[in-house]
Amino acid sequence: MEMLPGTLDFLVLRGLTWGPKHGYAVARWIEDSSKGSLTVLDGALYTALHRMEERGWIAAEWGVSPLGRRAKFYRLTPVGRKQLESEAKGWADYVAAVGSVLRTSTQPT
Amino acid sequence: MIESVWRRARQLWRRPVSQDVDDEVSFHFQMRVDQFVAAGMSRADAERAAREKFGDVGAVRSELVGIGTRARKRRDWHDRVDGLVQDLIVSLRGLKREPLFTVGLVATLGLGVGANATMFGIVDRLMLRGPDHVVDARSLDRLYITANTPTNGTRTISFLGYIWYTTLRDQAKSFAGVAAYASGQVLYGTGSGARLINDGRATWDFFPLLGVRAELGRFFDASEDHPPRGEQVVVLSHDFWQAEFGGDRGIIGRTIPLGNAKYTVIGVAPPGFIGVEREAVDLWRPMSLYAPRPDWPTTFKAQWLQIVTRLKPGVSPAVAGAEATSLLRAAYAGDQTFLKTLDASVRPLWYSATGRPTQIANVAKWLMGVAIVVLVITCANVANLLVARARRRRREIAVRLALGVGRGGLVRLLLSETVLVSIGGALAALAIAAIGGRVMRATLLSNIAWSSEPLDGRVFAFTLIVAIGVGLLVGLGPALSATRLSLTSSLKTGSGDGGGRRDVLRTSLSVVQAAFSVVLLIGAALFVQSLLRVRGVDLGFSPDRVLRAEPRIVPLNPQPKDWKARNDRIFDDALQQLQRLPWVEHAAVSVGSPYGYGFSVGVGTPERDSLAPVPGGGPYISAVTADYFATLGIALKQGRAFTAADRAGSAPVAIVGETMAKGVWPGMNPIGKCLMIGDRKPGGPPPPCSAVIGVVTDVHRESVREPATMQYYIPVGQETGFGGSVLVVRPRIPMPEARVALKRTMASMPDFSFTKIQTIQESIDPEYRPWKLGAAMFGVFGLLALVVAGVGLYSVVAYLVTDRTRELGVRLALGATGARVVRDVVGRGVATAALGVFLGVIVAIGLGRFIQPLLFDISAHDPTVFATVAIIVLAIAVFASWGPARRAGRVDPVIALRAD
Repeated sequence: MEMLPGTLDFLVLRGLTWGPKHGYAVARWIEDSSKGSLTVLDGALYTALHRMEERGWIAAEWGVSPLGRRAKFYRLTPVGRKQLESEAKGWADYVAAVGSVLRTSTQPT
Repeated sequence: MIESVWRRARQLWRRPVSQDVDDEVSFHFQMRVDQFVAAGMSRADAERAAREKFGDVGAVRSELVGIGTRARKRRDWHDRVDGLVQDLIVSLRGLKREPLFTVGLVATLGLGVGANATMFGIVDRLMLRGPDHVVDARSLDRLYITANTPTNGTRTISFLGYIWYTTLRDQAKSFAGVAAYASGQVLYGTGSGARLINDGRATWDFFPLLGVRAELGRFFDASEDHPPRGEQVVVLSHDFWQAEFGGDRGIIGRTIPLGNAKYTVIGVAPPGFIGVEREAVDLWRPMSLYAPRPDWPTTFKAQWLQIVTRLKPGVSPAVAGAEATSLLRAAYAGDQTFLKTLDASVRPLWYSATGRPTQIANVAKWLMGVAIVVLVITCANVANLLVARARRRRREIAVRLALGVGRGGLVRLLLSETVLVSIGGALAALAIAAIGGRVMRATLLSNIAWSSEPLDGRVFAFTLIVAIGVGLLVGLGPALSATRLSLTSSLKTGSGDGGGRRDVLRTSLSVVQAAFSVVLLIGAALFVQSLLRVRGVDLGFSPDRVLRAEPRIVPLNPQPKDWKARNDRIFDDALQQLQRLPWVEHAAVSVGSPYGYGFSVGVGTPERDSLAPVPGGGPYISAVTADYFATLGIALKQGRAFTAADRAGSAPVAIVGETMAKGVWPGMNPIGKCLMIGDRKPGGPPPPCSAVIGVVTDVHRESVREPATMQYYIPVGQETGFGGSVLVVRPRIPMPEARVALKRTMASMPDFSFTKIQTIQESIDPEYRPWKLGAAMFGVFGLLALVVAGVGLYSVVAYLVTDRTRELGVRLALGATGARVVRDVVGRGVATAALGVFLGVIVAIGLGRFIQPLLFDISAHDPTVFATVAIIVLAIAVFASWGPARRAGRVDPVIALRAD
């Protein structure tokens, strides 16, 4: 399934809520939690990460991966957390609205 | 704090952005490949799959590098601002820790820069900047002529006639514009509320020439200003409009009473516009309304206006002067040689009416120089304080260096301190400039219409630039040298040790300060002496005890034929009325008086047709009544004064001044000799003999510094060919009361419409101004310099003592007496000052040549002045060294040796 535009940032922020992750871990989290149904190019993911770092939504620091390799870890900043909350609410509203339209049974007059 | 900031910044620099991106991406590939291999792919397949999963590696990489570079740049800038703020906070804290040092620094800078700002404000206003509302003042000049006149010798003047203006306006090619203006006074209002106001008269092209636009309405134009008589229109000055009409915009079109006529207001000038002079103007009227004589547009015989010119671009003043010379010579058709051979020239607007830089401008230029000297002293002192502080902080700085603070960071920290101090100094300087400017304007330069506040934008900018420039200039040296420390030696030694080279520096600064204060004090003393002497000049009469009343006679319409007889009778009545008043000691009528109108008519003796000219011009004639000499306090040297019997129709008599008596009848008794007074018509009979009946002392006619002139007097009523009576009164009561009483008496006389009342002293006071200004400002600056130098010397000696505490302790322990040590230390201080005095005297001798023209009756190398100043400065040196020296004498050897 292709991703709807604008949802990548949202998913990445969501992925970071459990603590700092490097880019590969974020990519894996998206794949795993969508059970492989959401596909995103890794390059697009990194671009999104760097953009959000520049905006100050997430912060990066170099560290060592669980396997002992040097890796760049990203974590949510307070600004990023606020952003996530507002996007989550917007997403829920959107889904509810679309859902209610789909469920409707009356014929438009 | 700063250190961590720096470390962070440096870390960021360490790795390029692209390398970070590559590291991150390659880590990702490793993980992906591992993942796919673990899922059972071959290594080659896994790598291909990972690349596919990533997308366009090249494009993503360059995008990531772009984002990273952008972000890093922004972060660096933030860090830099952060660092600066940090530096300022640390500096501020450091300065707060040493309040005495900080206050001293700010005060010194403030005084030095403030003095400069004050003087700059004045020089700028007087000379650099043109008059307000004038466009491109640089190309504006005033026209002067230099001519060898038969009565006054060779003179340069700017007062000319209308014909000169039209000649240049219509024919000269060097000028983009020519206009004429004059100033005078006009009676404003009616009845008892009438008063004299300042009347500006200008040709209509004056305003477009200057480039000024009316605030309201318009200035008059060619149709309103034309010979023989222009329209009765008037343009009010902004101040006058505000004061008289409360800024009523409906004033345009209304009429106001001026003189004996009604004038229509057609405009209001912009605020501060006073033409090209430095005197207040209340209103502007067309030049052609003022007719000094019926043939005024074409005569060369009356000179009452000044001509202002604007040079065409690229035309030099010399070329313009040469053209004006030939045009004006050609225009003159009469037979006066001096008008055929005159030389015309254009000179700056701020020159005086005699074509030279005004005395005030000269003094102001000097004071600007003096202010710069004060600034040098200030710099020396600020440097002194900073060097001292740097030494106190050697250990602190060494510790910072040892902790790894970069040298650059340290210099920045020290410099940011200097900048803070400079800003403080600039603020203090602005306050001083605002107050100083106001005080100077009010006291020493009160005759000038300033038209702007002392603290304007230019003064403001000047102050900031100089303060911060000085701060950086003198702050940079100590800051750099402070960081060039050897770590180990500084950490080991005590705060009071070493630094021999800096002692030399500090001592030299003290010498410089002493030298400059000597120069300034000598200047001050010379000006004070000049002022005393100029005040002491015997003018030949007592100006401070004489009131002069200049009444206007109510004109009859039509003017009677015998108007002169009527005028004489009116003045005679007024005089008799005054003489009956109990508060009047003496009173007289005079035509021609000192600092008033001067007259010169042909005069000869039976032996000689005309008298040989003397440098001051003349001889000058006055017609006076009997009590004139007693009223003015002019001493009768020989013969008798006039009596009431000497009058129109009585036997012609004359009284001569001493210079005239000696000049005309050398070695003879002038009493009874014959003076033939009056212009002799060619071929006509000689004027009748006036018998000389007395000799009086000479009086100064128009200036404190003027050569002796020939003067003679005849009784009122016997004069022909000149007129213009005034009343002079010597009261028994104090002058202010007398003035009021005289005003009231004159107002009660029905024949007079309005009377202008002055003391002669008022006309003389402005003459003292240059010397007053010089004495006051040299004095203030000189004392300031002396205080600064004294404090500087004190601190040098004090440091010397602290530095040598151990040595002094040893000497005292070895048996030297305290008195001996005190003597040595004071000797050091005085020797420093003596070297300064010596250099200062040499500089003062060198500068004397230049200042001599500004002095009055005293040599710029006056030995008494030099000796007095030298002694004062040396005495201050003894005084300044005494405190620290006494401390040195009381050093306890044991404590001294144990110190540090």
